[in-house]
Amino acid sequence: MPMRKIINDPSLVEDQTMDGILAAFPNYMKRIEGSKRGLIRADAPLAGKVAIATGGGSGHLPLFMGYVGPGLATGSCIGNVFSSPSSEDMLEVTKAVDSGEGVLYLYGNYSGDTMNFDMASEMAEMEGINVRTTLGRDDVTSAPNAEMARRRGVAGIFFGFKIAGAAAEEGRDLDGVHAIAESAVFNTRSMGVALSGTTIPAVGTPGFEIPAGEMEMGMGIHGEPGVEKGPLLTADEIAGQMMDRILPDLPFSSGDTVAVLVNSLGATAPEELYILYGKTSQILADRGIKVHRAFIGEYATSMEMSGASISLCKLDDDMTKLLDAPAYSPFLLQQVGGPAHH
Amino acid sequence: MADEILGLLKIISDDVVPQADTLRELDALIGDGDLGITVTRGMASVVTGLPELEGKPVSDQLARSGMAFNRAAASTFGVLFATALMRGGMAVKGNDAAGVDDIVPIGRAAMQGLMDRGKASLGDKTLLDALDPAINAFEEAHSAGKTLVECTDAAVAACEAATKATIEMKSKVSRASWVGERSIGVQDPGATAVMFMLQAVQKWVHENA
Repeated sequence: MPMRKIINDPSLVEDQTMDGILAAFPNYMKRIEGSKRGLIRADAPLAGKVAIATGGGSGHLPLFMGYVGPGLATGSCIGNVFSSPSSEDMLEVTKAVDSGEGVLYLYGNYSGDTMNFDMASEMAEMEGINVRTTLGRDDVTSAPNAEMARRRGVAGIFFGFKIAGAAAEEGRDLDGVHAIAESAVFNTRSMGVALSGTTIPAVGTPGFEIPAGEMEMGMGIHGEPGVEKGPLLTADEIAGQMMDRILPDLPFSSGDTVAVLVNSLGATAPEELYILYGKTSQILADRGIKVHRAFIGEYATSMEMSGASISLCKLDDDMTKLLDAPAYSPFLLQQVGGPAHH
Repeated sequence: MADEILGLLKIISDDVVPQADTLRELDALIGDGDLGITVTRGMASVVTGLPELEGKPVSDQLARSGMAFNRAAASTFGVLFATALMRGGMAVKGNDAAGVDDIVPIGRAAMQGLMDRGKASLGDKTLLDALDPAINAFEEAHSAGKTLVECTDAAVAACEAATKATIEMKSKVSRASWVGERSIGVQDPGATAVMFMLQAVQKWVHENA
C-alpha cells in the first residue's frame, strides 16, 4: 500500500523538514554552518549561561527542534527518522552553543543516542568544553522500577526541557542545571498507548500494525513492544489503567503537587486528549494530588501514529518556580508562563 | 595491506547492501527496523569517501570510513561501526600498511572499543557474540601457521556458527532487551550484519590472497 504522506523524496524527509522549520522561524532559530542537522537558538551562544543541547531521531516533532528557544534548550541535532544524530553533528552543536559555561546534554535513553552523545561528549571534553548528561527515562512500562537505567525517555522529557531550561536561563551553573534536570527527570513518570503503527518514510511500509479496534498499552514511540495488547478500551478506562501504573511507581501521594502532560502521538485528536485529561484530573483529585498545571497537545509524536501518553511530574517549590518561568518556542501552543491552576 | 582496506570496504558494501532487507526484517522483530537502511546509507557514504583515502595511512582509512558511515547513518550500529574502525585503526597507528600479523590486534582493539562504547558483554546477544569467536578462530589458525585463506575461512565458519547461536539467546542490553523473552528465536540483527561483512571479507581474501 502506498504511503499516505505528503513528501517529496523519502530520503530527503529529514533535511526538508529542517529546511521548512528554518524558513518558518528565521528569527528564532539558525542552522550551524557545516552541519546539515544541527539547529540552535538564533541568539546562541548566550554569554554567561549554561547551554542545553538535545537531539534524537527525526519523526517526533516538536521533539527535538521544537524545544529550542528561550527558557528551553539552546540547540538540537536530529538524525534520520527514528535514528540517532551523529556524534560529529552533536559535537558541532555543542561547540556552537557553548559560551564557556558548559553544556548539559538532555535527551531520551535510547542506545543509539547514548552512544553517539557519549562519543560527542568525549570529543567535546578534549576541546575543553564541560559536558554533563541527563537522560529522559520516564516510561514506566519500558522496564521495572528497579531497572530505571534501562527505561526509555518519552514525552515527559518536556518537563526536563522546561525546568532545566529555566534554570539555565536564570544563570545557574552547570552543576546546578544538571542537578535540577536530574530532579525533573527523576520525578517524571509517563505511560503511552498506541492505536496504530507508523511508517518510516525510507522504509515505506509500517514497522508494525495494530488492527482497528485494538490497542497496545505501553508501546514505545518507535513501536517498542508494550505490556498488553487487547481491545480498544474507553478513554476513562485507559486513563485509569495508566494512573494505576504511574501513581505507585514514583510514588505520587496525597498532598503532592504535580504537573500533567497529555500528549498526542501524532494522529490522535485534541478532543480525545481532553477526554483523557478530564478523567485523569478526576483520579488525581480523588487521590488528593494537586495539579499545578496541565499541558495538553503534541509534545512528542511518532509521525502518524495514533495514540496518546500521559506524564506526571511531581513538583517541589524550586521546580514549580522554574516550570512557571517564561519560555518560548513557536512549537509550544500553550503559554507556559500563564496563570497556574492554584 | 594499505589501499587493500579500501578494496575490502568496497566489497563489504557490494555484498552486504543487497542483503539489507534481511537485516531490516530481523531488526523489525526485535529492534526498530532501521538496520537495513542504516547499512545501506552508511556503506554508500563509506564508498563515496574511498577515493580520497587512497595512499593514506591504514589507521586514517579505517577511522575516516567509520566516521563517514555514522555521519550518514548515525545509530547504534553506526556509532559501533565507527568505534570499531577507529579503535581497530589505533592498533596500527603510525604504520603505513598493515599485514596479516596485525589482523588479530586490530580485531581485539575493535572488540574492546565496541565493549567500551556499547557497555555490553559477551552473551548479551549482540554483534560481539559474532565477532569475538571469529577473532579467536583467526588467532588460533594463525598461531598454527595456517595461510591467510585458511585463517579467514576458520574465522568466518566460527562467526557463522556463533551468529546462528544467537537465535537461542535472550537480548540483555539496548533496544532489543525491551522485547525480553520475545527476542528468543530471532537471530540477532547486529550479529547477522557482522557475519555478512565477514563473509564479504572472505570472498575478497579468496579472490586476492
